[in-house]
Amino acid sequence: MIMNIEDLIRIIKEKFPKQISGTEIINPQRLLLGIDKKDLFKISGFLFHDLDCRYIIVSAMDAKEGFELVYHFSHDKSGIIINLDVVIPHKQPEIESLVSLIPGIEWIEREIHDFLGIDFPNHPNLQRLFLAESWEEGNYPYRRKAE
Amino acid sequence: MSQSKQAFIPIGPYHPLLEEPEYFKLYCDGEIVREVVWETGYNHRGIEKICESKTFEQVFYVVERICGICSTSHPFAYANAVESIPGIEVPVRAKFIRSIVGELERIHSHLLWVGLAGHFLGYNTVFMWAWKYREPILDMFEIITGNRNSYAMFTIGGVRRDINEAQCQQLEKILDQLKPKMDMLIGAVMDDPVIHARLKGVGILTAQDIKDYGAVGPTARASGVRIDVRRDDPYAAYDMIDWKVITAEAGDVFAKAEVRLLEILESIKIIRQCLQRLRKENGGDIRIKVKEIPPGVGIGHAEAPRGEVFHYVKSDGANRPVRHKVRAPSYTNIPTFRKSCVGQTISDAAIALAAVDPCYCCTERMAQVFDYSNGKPLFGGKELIRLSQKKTLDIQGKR
Repeated sequence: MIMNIEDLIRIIKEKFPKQISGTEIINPQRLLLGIDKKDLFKISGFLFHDLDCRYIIVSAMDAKEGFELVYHFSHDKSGIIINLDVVIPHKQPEIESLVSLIPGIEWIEREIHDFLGIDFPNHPNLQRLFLAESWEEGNYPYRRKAE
Repeated sequence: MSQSKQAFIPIGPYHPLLEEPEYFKLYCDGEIVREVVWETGYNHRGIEKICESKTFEQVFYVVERICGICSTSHPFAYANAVESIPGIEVPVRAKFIRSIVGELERIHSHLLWVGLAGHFLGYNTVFMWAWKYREPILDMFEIITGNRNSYAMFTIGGVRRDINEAQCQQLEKILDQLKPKMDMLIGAVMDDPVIHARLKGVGILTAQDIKDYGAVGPTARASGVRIDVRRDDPYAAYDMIDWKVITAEAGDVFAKAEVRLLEILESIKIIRQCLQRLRKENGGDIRIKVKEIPPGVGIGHAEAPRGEVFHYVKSDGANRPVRHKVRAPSYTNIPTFRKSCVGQTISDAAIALAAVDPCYCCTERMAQVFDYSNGKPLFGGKELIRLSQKKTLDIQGKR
């Protein structure tokens, strides 16, 4: 059976009725779900294992309301990309690492740690990926300049 | 055995076989690789950040320079992403031209890899053939874009240059000449018993490894994972023509070579059909004017020669992206080394490293093998290649 985006939303919402705070259908092939950071591990696990989604990447940006992380998963059977949107406050820039769930996510978490200074508790090796060892501690190049 | 007694072998940051800077630390127990540690960042150019200071139109020419080999893959994925924000449908003629450029690039990129792999195994004939037959492909690029690389064909809403009737005929003629040579090259590689001996069972990746690391492209398809953005989430002209996804089951280096070689034939098939359609529907727009990109999120991907290229673009309604995230296929393909290299011999590790066709940007790399106890070099890059080539000769000698 080929699933469409409504089927996917229904399946995810049946499993997580309260945890999905926002649902946006960007277009019939792109779904954006707003979630809280405490539910990230469970929902990602459901997408990765139960729905057999492929992990693509995480996009992170320094937005006004906080650090916005978008976890991209591809449901290859239907070609739909499911995006989990998590906003974490500037004051407490940390979110649980998903490495124990998805080994391939290790690098992007290190990269985000390099460039935005977000901590990933339970990450097995949160060392610098792209920045040199001599790069100044606490200087995060992708953060917005203080206004 | 404790790590202190293992030999430590750095490959990189510069290496003559592969084009770009990276650094692998292989910890070896005798001939066998036990652990691989990877370092990068030698050539980080901050392209995502640069793109945020360019207009949507200018970003095409920045992302085109991310990769020197597959320079159209990034504009392709970026176009899919940025055009999805206002929901633009590009003209049909532009779709066919986009697919032609994308497939020509796949052929030349795969031939480049086959040539390098051949050289690394000590098969310089394969290297010479593959790179010789890559030249007509670059000529075709020159005919339709004016350039052998960095074609600047893409723009928001279509393509920048048309392919006229005379060019279609020229391209078809080159394809006619190329096809028998490709058949010969593919036959020569796939039927060679020494290549079988060198590549079969080496650097195996299971379907579970592919899922764990999110590997894509020929790396995934060689392990029996049938994913291909062109089929799963069709873009450009791929849903209007007849072609098939190539897969193999073994997951070893040979399977990766097999997938790439057979994909060349599929690409020729796709280009032929696109050219036929262009000739049939002679005339028509190649681009539509797009005045502005409204606020919103654009997510686009495209199947590059190495796998899925992914672009995420966020617009706030101004003339430039507020966030632009790029994920190249090698970002998820390279970490699979940890699975494919461990347990291999040193002379096989190099081809296992090269099997996913790693791509960062374009420079050289170097391999050196140090004695872990005193830090003195044992082998340089040339020696490592010689070691790999010698293994092929040994196999030939034994036959």
